[in-house]
Amino acid sequence: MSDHGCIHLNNFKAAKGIQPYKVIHSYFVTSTSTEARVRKAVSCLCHTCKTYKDRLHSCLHCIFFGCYSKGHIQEHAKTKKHFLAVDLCYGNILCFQCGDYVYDRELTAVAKSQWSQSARSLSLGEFYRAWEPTQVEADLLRKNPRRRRIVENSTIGLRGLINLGSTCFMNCIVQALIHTPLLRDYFLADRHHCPQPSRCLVCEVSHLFQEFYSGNKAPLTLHKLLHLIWTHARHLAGYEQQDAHEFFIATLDVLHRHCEAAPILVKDNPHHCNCIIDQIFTGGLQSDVVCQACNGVSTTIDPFWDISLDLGPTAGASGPDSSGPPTSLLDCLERFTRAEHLGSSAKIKCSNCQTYQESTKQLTMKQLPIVASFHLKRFEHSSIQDKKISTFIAFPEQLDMTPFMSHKRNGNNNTTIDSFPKNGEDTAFGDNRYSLFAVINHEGSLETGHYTAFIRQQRDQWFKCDDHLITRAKLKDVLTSEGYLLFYHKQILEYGKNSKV
Amino acid sequence: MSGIDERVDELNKKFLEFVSKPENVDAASKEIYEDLLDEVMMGFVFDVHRTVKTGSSDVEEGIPDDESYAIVDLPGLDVFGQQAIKKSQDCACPNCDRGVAACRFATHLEKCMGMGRNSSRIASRRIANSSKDLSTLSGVLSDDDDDVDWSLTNDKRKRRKDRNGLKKSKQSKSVHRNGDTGSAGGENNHTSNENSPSNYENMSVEDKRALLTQICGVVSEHTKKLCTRSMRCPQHTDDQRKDMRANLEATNNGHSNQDNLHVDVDTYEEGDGQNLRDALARWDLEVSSHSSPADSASTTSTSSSSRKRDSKSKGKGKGSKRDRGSPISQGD
Repeated sequence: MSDHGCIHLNNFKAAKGIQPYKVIHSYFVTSTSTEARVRKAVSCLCHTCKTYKDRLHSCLHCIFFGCYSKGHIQEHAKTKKHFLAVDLCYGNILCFQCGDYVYDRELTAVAKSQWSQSARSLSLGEFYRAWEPTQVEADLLRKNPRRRRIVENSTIGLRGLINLGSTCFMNCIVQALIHTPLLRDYFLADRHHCPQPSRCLVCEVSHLFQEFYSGNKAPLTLHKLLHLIWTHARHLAGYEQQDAHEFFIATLDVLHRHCEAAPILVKDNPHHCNCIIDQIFTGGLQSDVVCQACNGVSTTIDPFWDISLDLGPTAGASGPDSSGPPTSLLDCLERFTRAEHLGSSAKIKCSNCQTYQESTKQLTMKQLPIVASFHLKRFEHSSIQDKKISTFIAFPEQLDMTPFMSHKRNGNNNTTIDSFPKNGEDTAFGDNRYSLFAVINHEGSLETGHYTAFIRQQRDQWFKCDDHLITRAKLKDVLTSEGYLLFYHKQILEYGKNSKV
Repeated sequence: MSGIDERVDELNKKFLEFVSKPENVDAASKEIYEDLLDEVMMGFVFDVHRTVKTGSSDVEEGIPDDESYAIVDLPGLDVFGQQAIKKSQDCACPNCDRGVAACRFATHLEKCMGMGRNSSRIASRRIANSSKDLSTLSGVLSDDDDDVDWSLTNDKRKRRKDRNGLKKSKQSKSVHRNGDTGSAGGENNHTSNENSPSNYENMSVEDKRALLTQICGVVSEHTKKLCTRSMRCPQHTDDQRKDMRANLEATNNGHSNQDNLHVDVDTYEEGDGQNLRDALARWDLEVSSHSSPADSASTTSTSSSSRKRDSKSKGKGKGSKRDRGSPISQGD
């Protein structure tokens, strides 16, 4: 390891300290304040050729900016014998005597803190920085030199799960969670730091990720996970409740609660949780109730973790196109976001005209989650009978949610479709494309059934997870399966304001 | 600062002038795009340069794992190239520290934690336990009582591997606890066999009926004991079970005749015998409530006492356990 710069830089530091670097860095590299940004804008030009680009460097010894591409900083170094220069893009130090960029631990630390300061002054989260091992991590890596690489056609990341006695509902949900790309990134990046590891479900999930990526080929037993979930979600009432959907929601809830228990570093809004579960799974559902008398709109936005979609024929829906049962996911979503007449028996007091009136209600997507989970309501429970709806519902590999967004779908209020959204939060220009990464199927009837999952690994490889048995599957198998829970992952992630350290 | 402000104004003016000409905009955006791209690439180059120069790339690189993780795609094998056979596996229950067969863990845990639809019954049973005596019968057969037992002896049982040995040592204690129910009571220490036909004979008709709703009940010729497996035990046929029960009813009607008790003479199979022998040996040793869900097939589907009968008829397999409220899965 050599992050101690070079003899020339060390001599310079001994003579003049780190202040020159710090000043140059805070003004002309990171620009930690508005004033600094202005100064950078007006004065960062090559003193020789006046260019603002071509790899500008600043002399560390005197006030001089010169470009590298046309050799002006080299020229300066040679004539003035000022052999150290700072690259103004990234803040790295070029030593002309060594003929190379050199890295000094002390100056790197200065640079890091100034990048953070700069991000803060722009009200941003943290700028991206490539991972580097700390001293401790580097030692560990050196002690354990074997590296397991996830190459194409590798089983790393796959693991069978033992059935603990009708626990396929749990196994399927775990497979779906483990193969959620962003959740995987979070856990494999070791982001969860916990005050209470022994009782924490998040820690257990973190441990599961380690197991899935350990290279061990023997199926896993999720007895600890089951115990933790039952301990923390008593309403699941044990083993009798075997609905994968219910288990999924309960699991998210417990994870969310345990995340909250861990200290949260950035919390802009105390009412809005910023835990990884909320970051990935929470969306905002807008409900607009429109008074039929005065057209007054009452809008509420509620968080959601999943969208439950009806599969039966619509009753009492407005519009001429409400006919038979849906045949595709898009159908379902179209119906879900359709304005629904609440009828004369359900009059609501309009906050606008203060009278009880008939109204319409429409649900739309205000904010999309990173993982969109759809629950096809295949199990119908009524006083007359319970039945399973096994009709085929087509669902796509790629899904664009734009048509179901509040600004698109909702003509009643707010902006019209063509108007330019003033609010940056409105994702009118966002990319709302999703791709399918997990499907949970319920095979069999209401009474006797079995859950299996299809999961996607490494972009386009599909596998069928049937408890301990993992086999390769084709996309066609996935798309022609019945589908009970469908999991889609956002294709393009936007930088959030709240991105954490 | 005023110099700077002027300079900013000047730059702004120049910029607006420049972009007001449409022909400039295209060229400028192209140039800016290329500058940005150059900058981003420089960043990547610096990252690589730094890791090489500081030596962290060697550390990160390491040496590749020798083992092959290639996916196997052959019929009859999973992606790991393994035969798709379920191996029986044990796991330690996080609640009571006992070893439990993995495939029965959920059932165990539900009871161990006192959850599910059984929980209220378990609770009331616990109350009953503390206040009045438990019939030997339910002591023998109840899973729930099993749990009671664990909760009482939990700590002592922790990390003890040899359950049988342990149970021996526990014997007197549990007898004392369950103790006294007429037929068993003090005698238990000596005779220790309420599953034997003689003991069975001592039971009331009601108890016998209750017992026979839970277990196979056919008497083995070899051991002269009741078969304590489930109603679906493969050792005996439905006809044998029917005969057994018909006998009981006949007895009840005043035609008691011990000799009519059907004795199973021919279905005991040697190959299958070890489990049964083990199980029966344990019954003998334990006297009462020490059936272990971990290793006794008979308790899989035997339920507890007659109190349970109304809500859940046992031995009918999983189907009867299902909750009608939710979509159900059975991971068989």
